[in-house]
Amino acid sequence: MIQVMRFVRRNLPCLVSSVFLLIFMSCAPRNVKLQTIDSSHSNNSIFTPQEFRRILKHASLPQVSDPTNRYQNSESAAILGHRLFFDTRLSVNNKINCAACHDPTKGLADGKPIAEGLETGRRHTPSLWNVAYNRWFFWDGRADSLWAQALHPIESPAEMGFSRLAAAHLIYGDAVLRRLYESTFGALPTLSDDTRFPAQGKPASSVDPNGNDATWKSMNADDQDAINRVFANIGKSLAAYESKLVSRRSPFDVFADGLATDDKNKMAALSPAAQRGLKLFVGSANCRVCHAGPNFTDGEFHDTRVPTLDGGQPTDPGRFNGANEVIHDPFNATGAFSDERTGSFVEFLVNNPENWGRFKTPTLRNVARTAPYMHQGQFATLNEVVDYYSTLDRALPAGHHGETILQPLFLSEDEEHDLIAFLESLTDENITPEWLVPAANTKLP
Amino acid sequence: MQIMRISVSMAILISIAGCEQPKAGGTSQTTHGREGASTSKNPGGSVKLFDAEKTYRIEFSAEPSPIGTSAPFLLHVNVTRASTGEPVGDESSLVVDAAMPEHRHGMNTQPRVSRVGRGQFDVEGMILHMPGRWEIYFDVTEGAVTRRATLQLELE
Repeated sequence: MIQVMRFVRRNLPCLVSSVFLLIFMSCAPRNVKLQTIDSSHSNNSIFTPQEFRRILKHASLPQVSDPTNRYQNSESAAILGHRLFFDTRLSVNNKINCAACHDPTKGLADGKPIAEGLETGRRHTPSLWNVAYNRWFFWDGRADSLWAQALHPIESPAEMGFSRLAAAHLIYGDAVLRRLYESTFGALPTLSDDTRFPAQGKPASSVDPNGNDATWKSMNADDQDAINRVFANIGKSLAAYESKLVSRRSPFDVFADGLATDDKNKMAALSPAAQRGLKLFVGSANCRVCHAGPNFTDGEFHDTRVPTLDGGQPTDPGRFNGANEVIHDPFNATGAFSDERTGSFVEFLVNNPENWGRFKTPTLRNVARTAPYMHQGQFATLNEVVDYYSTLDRALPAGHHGETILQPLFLSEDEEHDLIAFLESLTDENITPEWLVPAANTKLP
Repeated sequence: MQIMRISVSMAILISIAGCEQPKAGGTSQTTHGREGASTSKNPGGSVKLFDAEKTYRIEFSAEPSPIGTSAPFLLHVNVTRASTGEPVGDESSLVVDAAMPEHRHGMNTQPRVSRVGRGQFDVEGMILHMPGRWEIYFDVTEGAVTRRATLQLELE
């Protein structure tokens, strides 16, 4: 009898499963197919069938697609956007361009904890690698398209301090920019008439509540609309350029190809340590829950409870403000300047107090090139990031109604090393080199 | 051992769910369980489920199907009386929502339900933004009474 009890205790899981299996077999329709392990993949890796399926969910990055920007794949728009990206004349002091914060030699970021434009900002500069795959833009998602996002820094007093009128005049007065603009978007308004189109001005907005409102208000509505159209097109050309900044062929991608096709040569693209890290990533470390899909992000907002940069209480509302701003942004996907005004996410967006202090999940592609990390650049290295998720050391208290996703992982030193080896395997900065330097240094038109 | 684990999970899954045979040539599946909660792997085709009291039968299909992680989808929903098969009348209303109970959060969108026929509804604005276990709630209201049918859905 004791032996029987020992057998039952030792084999309880199998017995239970057998009972369930019998229940299942007795009532299952005959055409229900039991899931089986694909024998072609059963002996070629350290991964279970579930891990195998999960790994392939991260492979095959699709082509970028933004229905609100019909110029996203226009080559002439991208060439104009490329020129504007590196053009310091797009700032009030002629010293700051987009590349000042999104430096191609620094992972299309700036390497600083907190962004610095005309003033010091309040958050870390996110990398532009694979930026076109986002659903929401900025850490707080206050823009819902890449072209609408690109407009904010131009007029922000803390970043470039320019205005939409001045930007339109810049293009109008530069033969190359004007040719590129008009060949893509059509004729510019008659900007030489400075009584209708003052040299600078912008409406008050969330970016600059004290905008040059009097000048802007002096214009008639049709002329305001014409300038807003030019401004939106500037955003669309910048977005067309930034849509070229795609990282899709990292060692991980080669490995995933190999895993799918049982090609051991391709699978060798990941070191054993990186493969073990990948197993953790899609398995017990649960990283994939937020860093989901081919761009390694769910595109949404979470409270990681990370301590603030200065060690004080968190004061940044994050998504709670961002959701309100994007709903009211005249350049959002439902607005007059969008090329597809229905079916967008913002149409169904709902805000709630739980969004307070949440920030967007960043992509992990090229993450090894984009230190420091988190929304205030709190962590200088990937090691610090992984260590935080392992211990949740100094984590802020969870909100009463907050998510319960975060749990300390209690990783061993070896496991942390493996996870970092995997994150480093997500590196690929190999795009057409001309896109990463100013047009003056290339043969681009 | 791995095969055994898969067998266990599949067996539990199917034993919780109902055992109705799919219709010939169709891809429909009928599920019902505790308190009207129904369990399904990511369903393709048409799915039928009931509220806890089996007052209503909810049949829906997703577009695109199956439902993908972080991919927007539409639902086409038919609500009928479980006892007679009659579609519910225009005095009834349907609200659809979804949540991840273990994470204690829902969707970040508020779906819009449009009546497109007698007992027929289209639902826009659905997006399940994370992998894991989701519940999709179908709340049918007539007068002061709301009854809920719940689909549990595992997204990879």
